Amino acid sequence: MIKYKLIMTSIVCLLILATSSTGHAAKAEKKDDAVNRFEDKDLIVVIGSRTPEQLAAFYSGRGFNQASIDVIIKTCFVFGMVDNKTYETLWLSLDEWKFIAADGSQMKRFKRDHWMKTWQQTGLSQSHQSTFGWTQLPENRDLRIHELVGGNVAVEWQDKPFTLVATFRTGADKSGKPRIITVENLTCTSH
Amino acid sequence: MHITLSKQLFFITTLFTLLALITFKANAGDATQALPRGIITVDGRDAPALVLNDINGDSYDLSQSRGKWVFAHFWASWCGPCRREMPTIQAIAAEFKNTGLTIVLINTAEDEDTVFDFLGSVAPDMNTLLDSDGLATEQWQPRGLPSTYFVDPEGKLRYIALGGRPWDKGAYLGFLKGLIK
Repeated sequence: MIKYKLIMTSIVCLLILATSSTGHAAKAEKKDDAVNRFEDKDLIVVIGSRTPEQLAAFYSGRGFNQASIDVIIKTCFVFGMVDNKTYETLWLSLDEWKFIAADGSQMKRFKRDHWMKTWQQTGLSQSHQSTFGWTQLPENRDLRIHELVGGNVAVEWQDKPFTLVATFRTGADKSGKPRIITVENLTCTSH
Repeated sequence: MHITLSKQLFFITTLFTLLALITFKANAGDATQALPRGIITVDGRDAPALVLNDINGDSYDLSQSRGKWVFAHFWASWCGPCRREMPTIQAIAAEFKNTGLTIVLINTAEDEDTVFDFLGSVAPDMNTLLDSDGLATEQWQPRGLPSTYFVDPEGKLRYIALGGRPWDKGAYLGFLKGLIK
């Protein structure tokens, strides 16, 4: 009788173990070509490009002056969304996003200092400069667990499709295995 | 001999199970943490100054809320998560009226017409401060829009909510109530 109880208890313990571990099952990374969405158990990355029409509608709807709109629609904007699902820290660093043109050369990315100079030339108001800044992805961000960030990245115009290779460091001290997301066939819609 | 083997099996399996359960609990993340998902602690530094007018033209100074917790929420009408979150803030504003928690909204760099239109359609009972040039928001350096800071009764930054959160629901509502217990 004692032996029977002990064996049954052991079986129950093993069943508890089995059910406890099912929540950690890994989900395969997938890519949806239409929206360039990458998702696995650790992160979600969504990448795409904005059309000049979308950009003009958004910024003119918020009162941006025409000179600034003209500059914006001649620039190629890629939007990105990054969601850290499980990493203690997932590092977004735009300097580690490489935009590769069709000829293999690295494309120029326009940073915040470029825009500050541009807005001085176009006479964009301080409030609109602020709004523009908040619609861009931050240059650097230590994404905490369950933190999501989204926004645009501005790069030089391309007539041909281009590729983005985005590297994300992981871990509080960046010593974890980096995540690399490659998105091919991004385009700047013709202006 | 048989009983001894069974006892050994029982002991080893039980020990293994307990160790596994402890490990599982430790890795369960938000299920066992005191803070709801997306709320992180900050270092308790002084909150930046915040002196702005609201949509009625009345001035608000953060320092006048000393002695209370302050829910300082930065938002803009063009941000999708802000639109989804604002009704939940309106819901808690009613619940926490005249309590030890003051809810302060700060619109980032938009004009009055835009703010009126947005709040009128999304959260008509809410007032907001107007950071018309966006410079006050820059001083606070939120990690994006929307962002919510929790300032303690001594004027120190204690928590940040990352992105939009359903403030009128479960753990978030419990967190807010816990601040003023």
